[in-house]
Amino acid sequence: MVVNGKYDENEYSTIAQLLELKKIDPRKVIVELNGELVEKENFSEIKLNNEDKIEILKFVGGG
Amino acid sequence: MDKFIIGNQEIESRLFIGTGKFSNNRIIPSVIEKSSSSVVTVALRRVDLESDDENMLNYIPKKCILMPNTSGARNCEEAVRIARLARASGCGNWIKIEVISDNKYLLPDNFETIKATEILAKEGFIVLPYMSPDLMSARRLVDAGAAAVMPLGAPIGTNKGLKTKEMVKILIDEIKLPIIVDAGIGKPSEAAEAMELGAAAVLVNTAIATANDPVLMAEAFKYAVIAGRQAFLSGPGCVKQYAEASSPLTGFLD
Repeated sequence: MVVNGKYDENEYSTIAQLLELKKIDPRKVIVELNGELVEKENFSEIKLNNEDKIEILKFVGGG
Repeated sequence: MDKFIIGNQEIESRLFIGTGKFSNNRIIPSVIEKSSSSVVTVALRRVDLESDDENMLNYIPKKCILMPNTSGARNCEEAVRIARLARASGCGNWIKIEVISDNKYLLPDNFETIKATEILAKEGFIVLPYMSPDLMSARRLVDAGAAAVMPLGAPIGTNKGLKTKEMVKILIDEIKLPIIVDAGIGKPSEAAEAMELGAAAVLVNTAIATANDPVLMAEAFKYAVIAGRQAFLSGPGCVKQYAEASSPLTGFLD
């Protein structure tokens, strides 16, 4: 699957697992799966597959 | 009482702060404290998966209103997408619409901004659109449901000051929403100038972030915005062509 624009050959069953393996705090990020926003309560629910495109976003400095 | 209200919420400070371009984000809490700002902008970007990423929200006090911007958006669809993602963070429903496809001057696209304002206002966002000062576009933003209108003073990051003064003045006179000058303000005196003109607030980022002492500069801007607003409320005296003595005639020197 593609994570933040890069091909990632690892397999992740859910978004929650992906974030855990990448040591990312789920409370601090916003996740988009295949162009659709994923609510935090669904991070453990939605099953991922190899065709998925995921964006993991956060707030940064900006004006 | 001089109240400043946006989206039914009273805002304590007329100085909004941006968090971009700081050489070190760790000074941001001090900058916000010294500025007394209550509205702080942020942007939305990809997490760097390779490195241990810091969290901008750690630097912004909970009492501040967070205003994510849609920077990066080149059209209405992208701005709407970013806004919805930002709101999903659970940090509130304020959004600064920033739609730019001009990479040289970073001038906003008023047409796309108006479309995005309409969509997002209907979805319950408190929409503050960043725009090029044009009266017709401002009227359309009002009709589209904007909570305020944010005309630029000069292109982003230039520190050139209130180059659009005459056009901003027209917006202040004709548009009933708060007019917040955003972009280009380079010095506290320019923030004061915008406030004396009648602007409701100013948004400052580069001038503070790139100062030698950003914390000291943030405090300077705080005083400038207060002074400018107070000057506006005081009703300044007329500008005259010919001199008029400040002291009475002496009588005894004739």
